[in-house]
Amino acid sequence: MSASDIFFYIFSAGAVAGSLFLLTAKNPMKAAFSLLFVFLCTGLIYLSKGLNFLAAAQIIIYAGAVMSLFVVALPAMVFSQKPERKRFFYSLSAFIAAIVLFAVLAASMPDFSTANYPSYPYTTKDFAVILFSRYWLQIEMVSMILFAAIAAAWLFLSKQGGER
Amino acid sequence: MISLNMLSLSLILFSISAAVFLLRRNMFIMLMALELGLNSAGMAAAHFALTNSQTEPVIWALLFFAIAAAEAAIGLALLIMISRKFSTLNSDEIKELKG
Repeated sequence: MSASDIFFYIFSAGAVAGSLFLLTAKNPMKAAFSLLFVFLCTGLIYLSKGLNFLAAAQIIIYAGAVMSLFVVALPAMVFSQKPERKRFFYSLSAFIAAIVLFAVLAASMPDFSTANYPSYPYTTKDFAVILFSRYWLQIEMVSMILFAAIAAAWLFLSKQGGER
Repeated sequence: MISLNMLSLSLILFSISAAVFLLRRNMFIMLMALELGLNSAGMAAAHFALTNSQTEPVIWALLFFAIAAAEAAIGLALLIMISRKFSTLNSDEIKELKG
């Protein structure tokens, strides 16, 4: 077992533990920080597998931008003091549904046995060439989606939009 | 034998995100579960990039990141608006659809 595999297992365990904490967290701020931990572990997994550009994007966009947005927006929200209602049969059925979802997805995936990936030199120049040649339309569409999201968020949170 | 690779890890994380979305009633945590699901989709794309030695699935993972950022912006704005209107983010206590 190589050092890359050992790092992969350590960070995988961290990601699964952090995401399981979301199930039980009472405090939303602690849940946000556990999700930040999951994103950091995911970025380190990408790094251990040689996907340096994707790891940098994961840490900058997910762990940096998205999670700071979550943490900054959290104090602006009003949370109810009442605890979540316990519903045994609903919880049991939701848990079984998640397990069935996992089984269906696992049965539909063909290559679970691949543990060692072939080495392939992913360079930032390759990504740049593809992004601005073959995928230019998708990039423009995503930029429009991001612009529309910012405009919608501004509209929702402006005084007139909130009162409408 | 099923060995743990990035695809199986992404399936585990996606199933956990589905469980969190179904089990929790706090809408803020439900939004975070959606982000976790998109993150696991990006990880599956990275797995296919590595197994096929291709660059395109990584581009799709980057597009997932941008979609997740847009989703977080709209979702958080909606949650702030809902919490101002109803004084709660518990989905059991929000029962009216009238705007």
